[in-house]
Amino acid sequence: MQSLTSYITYLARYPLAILAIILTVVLVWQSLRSLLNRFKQHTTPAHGFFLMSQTAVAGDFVESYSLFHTTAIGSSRSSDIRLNSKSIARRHALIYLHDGKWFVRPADSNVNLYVNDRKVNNPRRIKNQDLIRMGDRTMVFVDERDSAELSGYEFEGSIADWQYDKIVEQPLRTGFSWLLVSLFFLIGYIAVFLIIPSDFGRLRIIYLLLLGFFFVFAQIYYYVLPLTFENFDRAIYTAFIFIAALGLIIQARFAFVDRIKPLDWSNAEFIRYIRNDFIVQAGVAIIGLAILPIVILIVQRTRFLEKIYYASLILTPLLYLATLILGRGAAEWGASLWITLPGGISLQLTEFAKITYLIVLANFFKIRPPLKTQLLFAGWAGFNFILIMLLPDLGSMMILLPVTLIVFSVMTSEYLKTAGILVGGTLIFFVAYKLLSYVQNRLYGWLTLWTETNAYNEQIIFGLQAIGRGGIFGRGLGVGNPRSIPLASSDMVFSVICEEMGILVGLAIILCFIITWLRGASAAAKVRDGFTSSLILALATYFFVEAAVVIAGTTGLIPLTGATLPLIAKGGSSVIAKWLMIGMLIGLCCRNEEGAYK
Amino acid sequence: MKQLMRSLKSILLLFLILSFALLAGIVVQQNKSQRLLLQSSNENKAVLHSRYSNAGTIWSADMVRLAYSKDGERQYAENSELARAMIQTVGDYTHNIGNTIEGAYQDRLIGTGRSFTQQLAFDFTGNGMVGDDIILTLNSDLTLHAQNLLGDSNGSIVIINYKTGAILCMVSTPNIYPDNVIAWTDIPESSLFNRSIAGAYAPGSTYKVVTGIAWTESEQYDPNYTMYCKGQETLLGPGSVTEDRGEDAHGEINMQTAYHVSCNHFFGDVGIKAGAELMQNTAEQFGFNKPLSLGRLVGKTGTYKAVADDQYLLSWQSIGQPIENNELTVSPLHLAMISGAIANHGIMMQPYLVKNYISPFGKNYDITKQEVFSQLNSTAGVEVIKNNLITTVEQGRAYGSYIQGYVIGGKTGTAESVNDDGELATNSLYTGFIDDPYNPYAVGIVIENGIYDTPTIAGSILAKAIELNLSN
Ligand SMILES: [Zn+2]
Repeated sequence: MQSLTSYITYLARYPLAILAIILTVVLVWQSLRSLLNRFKQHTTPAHGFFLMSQTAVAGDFVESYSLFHTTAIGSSRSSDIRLNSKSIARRHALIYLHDGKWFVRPADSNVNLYVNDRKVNNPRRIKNQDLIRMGDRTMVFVDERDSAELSGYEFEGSIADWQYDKIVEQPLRTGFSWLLVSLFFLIGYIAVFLIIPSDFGRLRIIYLLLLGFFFVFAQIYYYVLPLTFENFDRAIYTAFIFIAALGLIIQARFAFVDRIKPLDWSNAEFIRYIRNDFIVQAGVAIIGLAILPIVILIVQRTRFLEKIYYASLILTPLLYLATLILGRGAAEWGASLWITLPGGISLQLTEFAKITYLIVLANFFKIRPPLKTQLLFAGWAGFNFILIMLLPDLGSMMILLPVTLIVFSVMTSEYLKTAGILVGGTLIFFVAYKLLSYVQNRLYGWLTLWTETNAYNEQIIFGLQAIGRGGIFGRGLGVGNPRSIPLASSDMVFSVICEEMGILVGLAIILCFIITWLRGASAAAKVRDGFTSSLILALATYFFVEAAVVIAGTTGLIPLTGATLPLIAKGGSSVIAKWLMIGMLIGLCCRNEEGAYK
Repeated sequence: MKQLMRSLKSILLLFLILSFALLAGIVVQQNKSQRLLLQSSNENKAVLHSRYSNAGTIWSADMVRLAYSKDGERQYAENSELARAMIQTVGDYTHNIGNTIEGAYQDRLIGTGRSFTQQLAFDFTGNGMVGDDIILTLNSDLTLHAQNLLGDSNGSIVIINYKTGAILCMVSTPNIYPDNVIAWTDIPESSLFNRSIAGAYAPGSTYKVVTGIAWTESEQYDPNYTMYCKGQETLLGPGSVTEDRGEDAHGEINMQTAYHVSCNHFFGDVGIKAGAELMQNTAEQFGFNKPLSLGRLVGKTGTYKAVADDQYLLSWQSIGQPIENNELTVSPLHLAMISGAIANHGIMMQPYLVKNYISPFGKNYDITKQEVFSQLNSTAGVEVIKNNLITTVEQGRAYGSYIQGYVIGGKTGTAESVNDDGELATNSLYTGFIDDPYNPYAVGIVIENGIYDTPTIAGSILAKAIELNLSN
């Protein structure tokens, strides 16, 4: 009935699905264990070390404080050791364990910190009985081992406790998962090649070259980048290469299989069109991969991200404004988020606005800011959200709001206010629902999903039908019916993947973003630099929320928003923007515990 | 930093819950879609055309092709009259008609809805992309005969095997050729509506079968009970049951005679004596108000809600006439099931349409299991009513369905219903059975807009079923 080659592609769905689910489950498991381990290390008091203070008021009244892997001292409520005094800054000093030794450093450049009456500006190693003075408080650092030795006793406690921070630093062993990703890519690569119609001739060579190039690049990076960048997170890298590989495979399938030549086109015209289409898709992935080390380098070694804060503050609303004004004219369906530059290049500026938004967000919440600053941020973010709703870009809204909320609640620990923002966000949606008919339509389409087919839900219904047809292992690459789904290669790409490659691959996509978040959370917990920590959290959360909102939307779990799946959906500027964000995330995770390298 | 950890931990918990909900949610949506979204309106016709271009064959029980794919085209029964008689059941690849075999069994026909192990076996023997064939329980000759009998009228004929539940024939008129449906041209009003399984008609006197069972179950039941029929006078007073067909009074009457002449007074009277509660219970034992699925197709049993506080209205309900928006409807399939249960000693079998699948290896598999749909509490009463229905054919109003050499039982009915044009019209109904272990057939007939000789039609279709010797 069908040729042998297409039958091989059909059978390839079994190894593809199995590889995808195994490699992601393994990585999720490893990442989760490593994160929980880090939590344990960071919240268990260091055995045998503490600070003793003599409060100025009570004279010789002695208080003792446990020390953790990293202990923040300050007057704010989020400090681990809270000292209520006008002379103490909100975040004053940090005491931490590094490489088995204890250090102290000021948390801010304009605070006064003295060790044994000598001013401290950079991290300073401390030992038993050292006097640490900040503001009007003085504390004594006690190392019970030393004290015991001095008094002639033997300290009870294992050496393992003492060096516990070393255990955390072991990187995940990702070799097995990487091998599976490589196999996944190779099988998918061959499977698609086998179903490209033979009359496409040279296009098949272009396909082999471009994807092969991507594969070799990705392999080299995996082995070389960790040599260049200490702490290079191979787990995040593996997860994103899997996503990107999957995107390339499915987009190549869209480009070459089941294409219908318009009647008035010549063969040559048709092939040229397909070629350009494919070269753009493969090209942005390769460009993205090519800029990756550069972005990592800049982010890890410089304070560039910190420096563009003010620019980002202005740029974010400007990018939305520009899209609002210029994007309208290019509207083909509903709202247009594209801006056409002279020369016919279309750009989605809003994709870049999301990056600058996250930078501003991270900067505001690098330390728990006072209320006034929080309100300032609320005003700025609110202004951006109004612009987003005017575009209208419901997708951005549904993604940025939860990200803001999570960064806010983690960095400030203000759960009450978080709940307040949540209520506020709901109100915004309610107002949007009342004012904007397109929001009403989408909600109506979603509510009637299982009862009727209408213009507002048929996209999801056709997508769900495809997911249903796909079953566990899919129908095989090229066998599905993406033409039955509107926007199959962009907004609805998840449904097509589930139809042709099976729901296991669909679940693997979600697991990849879970891996990213878990690794991000782990890195955010590690770094002592507030900005690095909150931006890592913001980026990792952004990826997960974006994927979750898109996937839940296309499967009818929540109303459809119109956002697209990172790296997998067809797109130019959006893919480049995502690679920038991946570079930023990996670069930030590469930073050492103190933030950027010099 | 401990604070940050604590916040991160709570967020991690929230995050893990959300992640799990998302993963589980997608699996749930896939499952739901596989059950509920096999067909929907507005699907892309060109895509459907290519999807069915290699799909499996739908066979009738006597192995006549009802739908098959050849040279990339989906074809329907060669005999165009058969294709038209099957249209609402078999459906078409464009999914222009809902609730059909083509739509609801799409996954099996294109080879996706099989169990994992089955699929694996087919995949690694090179048959993975071949769909299953489906064999229906419907007989093509019986279907053609029913189509002929219905002619230009609007109505439905259903024949089931009451011992197994297999639906042997169901035709709903008006119907239309598949080509018209695919091209969506010249489609007569209501021709896509499957009256057989989705119709909702007032049952009229056919409902006296149910009332009779309720009466035999009643505490007041006396086999020798007689009452006095006052003809066109009302039973209890203005608003209660009368012989509304303008007939003379039947005088002193017992149950057997009451069946023969279809006496309204008698059944109005015993219905009241049985009481609303027992009437409701009995109806529900007969499957009223119970959801009915024919494999993946959605069927419809009748609906009934006994009037508890008004004996006048209850008396009308007892003779199958819903008055003042009281709920009482029946589908032609359900009419056949009711008689079937009487003939089958009170056991109502689950009706089914798909006999089995044929795998790409050519083997019959996934054979539909026979199940009981509902069971009557009554045992002795069922035999009493069965005999009364048999004598109603032998000596009473259902005489038209008599077949020499066979024991036939049946009951006619007429009832007013609002028709498609919104006008009040009289429908003719019939429910009956053959009492014969080798020909265990029950029939349900509804013909709209007029008084038709439904017993004779029933006799003709049952005789055809006997002639075809379907049990073998
Ligand atoms: Zn009478």
